[in-house]
Amino acid sequence: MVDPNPLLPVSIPPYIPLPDDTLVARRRPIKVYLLIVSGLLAIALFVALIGYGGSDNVQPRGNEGGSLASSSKQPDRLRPLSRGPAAGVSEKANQQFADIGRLRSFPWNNSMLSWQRPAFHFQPEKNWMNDPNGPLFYKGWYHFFYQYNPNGAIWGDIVWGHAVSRDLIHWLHLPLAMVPDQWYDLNGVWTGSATILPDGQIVMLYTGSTNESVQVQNLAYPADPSDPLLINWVKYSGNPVLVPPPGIHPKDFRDPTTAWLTSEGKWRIVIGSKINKTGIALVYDTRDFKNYERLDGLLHGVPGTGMWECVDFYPVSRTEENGLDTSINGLEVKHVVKASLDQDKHDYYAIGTYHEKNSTWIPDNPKIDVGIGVRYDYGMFYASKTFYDPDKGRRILWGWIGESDSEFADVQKGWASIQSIPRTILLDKKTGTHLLQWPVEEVESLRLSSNEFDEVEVKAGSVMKLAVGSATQLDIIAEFEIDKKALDKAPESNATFSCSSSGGAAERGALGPFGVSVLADETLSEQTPVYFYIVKGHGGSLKTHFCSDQSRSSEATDVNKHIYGSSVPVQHGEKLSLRILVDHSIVETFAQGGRTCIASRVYPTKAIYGAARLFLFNNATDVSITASLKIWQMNSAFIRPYPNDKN
Amino acid sequence: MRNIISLLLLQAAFSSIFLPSAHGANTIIQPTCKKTPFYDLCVSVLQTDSRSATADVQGLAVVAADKLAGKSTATLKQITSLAKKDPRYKACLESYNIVVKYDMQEILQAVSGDPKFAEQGASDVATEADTCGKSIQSFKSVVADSNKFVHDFSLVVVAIVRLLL
Repeated sequence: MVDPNPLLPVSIPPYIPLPDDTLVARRRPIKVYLLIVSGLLAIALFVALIGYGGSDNVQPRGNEGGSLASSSKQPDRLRPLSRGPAAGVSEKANQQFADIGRLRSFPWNNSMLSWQRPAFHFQPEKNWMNDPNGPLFYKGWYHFFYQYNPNGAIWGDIVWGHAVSRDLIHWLHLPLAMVPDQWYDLNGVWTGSATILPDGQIVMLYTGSTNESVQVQNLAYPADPSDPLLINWVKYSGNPVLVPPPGIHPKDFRDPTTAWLTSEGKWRIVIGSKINKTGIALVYDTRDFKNYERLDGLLHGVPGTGMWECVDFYPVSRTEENGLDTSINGLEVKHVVKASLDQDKHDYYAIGTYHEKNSTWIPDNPKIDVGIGVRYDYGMFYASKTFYDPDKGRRILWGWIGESDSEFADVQKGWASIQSIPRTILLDKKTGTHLLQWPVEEVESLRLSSNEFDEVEVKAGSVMKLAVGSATQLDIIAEFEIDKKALDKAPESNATFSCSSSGGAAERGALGPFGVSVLADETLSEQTPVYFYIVKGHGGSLKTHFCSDQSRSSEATDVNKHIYGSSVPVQHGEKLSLRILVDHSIVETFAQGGRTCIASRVYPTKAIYGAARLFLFNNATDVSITASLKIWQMNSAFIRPYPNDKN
Repeated sequence: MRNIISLLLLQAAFSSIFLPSAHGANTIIQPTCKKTPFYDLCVSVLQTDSRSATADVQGLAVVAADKLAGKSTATLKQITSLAKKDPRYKACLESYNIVVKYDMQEILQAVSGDPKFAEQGASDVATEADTCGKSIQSFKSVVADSNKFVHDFSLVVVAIVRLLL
């Protein structure tokens, strides 16, 4: 029997069926498709005629060979940019069946897919990766472990992968560190953290999913501490060392933290969990990492935030510009609590005070408590974890950046997920509410040739191509100044703005958007704008937003088309500054020295290889801006297996 | 006499409302299925499995995943043999290979382990079933019903799994 109802389009939750007339339209798909296309053409024509001066050359002329150092160049008028049919949100979470007639999502070919693989971000040679695990520094090497599926490009059969580096950038793959070979981790060797004891011993605590899928904590340690590569690991014969306590669900007990010393000389860890919908951090003390006592009470909890995964807890200096060992405490220090929220797949942190006596932590500002306030990153960035680097006195953050394309494409290309470039973490002394994250300085060793553009004036409504040569592996540092008089004259608006609900870089405001468009092709049919958008509120107060716009990043319809971003605090007298690392399908962006960060995955089909370009743009209506940029070509990190003969 | 008959009818009506259902009164199935986009489908499928009677939400997620796996595998088998002679099934064959070989593996492992990956996998099943459905909607395909089941029920799985997060 033929199903008379075509598949109902759904959104995932809440469920909203489409009205009946849409179902009728589906029976004559070609006619409707033609109607839609001609309708859009009509709109585009209309806009082109009335909006921007019909006879102007709409191709951005850009710069064919010199720099834009001289400001005598006439900026080009902005193309009217129609956004086309709604592309909907992530293929994985939601399916809006707006494009009638397409058979297979997008005809990805090998050339497009193989371009996507980054050149200097960490990833295994193939297959699936997720959470960073147990990062540490030992005997001259940085070690990185990670959740890995040895059997495919989707999550499953999880083991611990392992790699080492001298400089956090050039990684060498080592054999798998741990596999599910015990009853207590048979269903998964999951996330864990390393603690380095004062005598140099390494202790690894990790979550195992047992043969009955109960979450327990296990102890492991290097088989041979004299091996600087720490290739082999031993699991403690008395595992598991912790099982879910009474009142905690056996599937809500995972991701033990690095331990810190208490004033009583005991080691203390926290483990994330939840009670109903309240996310919490359970506290345990131990002297030997084998026997634990659970403390009454919690380190902290926040109602409505759900399960806290990958909890992290660490001190930051209120005065110094260096990182701190996890055990440091005192008046010169604040403590950060961070949680990965299972329910929305984002990493949140808050700054507060640790009270060691009763082992609680109080946020400085409960309004921006853990899970309801600031995020490390407003794009794809999850399960992050810090560690203290004693070699250079830094606290360093790793974050898992997943894919935002379809699983079908992941399977075709044979891999999924990368890690962020490791970021140093410092308390932002100017705001006190934010951390500053910045790519580790070693990434600068990849810089090759550079192009500099000084004080380029970009008038309202203009786009200019920046001649930088190849544009798929770049380090971009830019500063923007806005014409003060125009800023003062600009109108106030009581509209609320958010990157994610805006029209992206095509939505013009008085004071924005302006910024840089990466991974763009010559005609800007594909582009990823990264920009500032300022809103002037009552009394002339300015609020600055920082956005990364995927909505036109690709002609493919089966990729994420969100506009990520957040407001970013800008102190009086600060210029607007951003940094962008472009590495094929990953665009990592940092505003105001790392106060607000956005990691975005983009999958262009045309703006790839030699066809990728870089543009500077100002799509505001009322202000011109002056931009200064320095742009480096970035070398590959040549991440590869550790050479066999040296093992 | 008429009054007695109507009284009896009323009595029968009341009794049928308050009689326990044939499968026993599991209070978890109905409220769980209410939170999914296909209540009737959810209830009818879960009730066919004896594990559902005593399961918590976690248990229902496992049952739902198993049912989805069974139906996807059966549909793949059907499509595979159809595709041998009928090139119109090419897209569906591609889709169901992905569903059975990759998505279902992810879902079955994740549903009792790390549920957010089961959500991801099940969403992908819906996408693949939709792709298949579109490719066969122009003719009377014998797998249309099965495909619709897989599509709809994968969204039921997504909804149940979200309750676990």
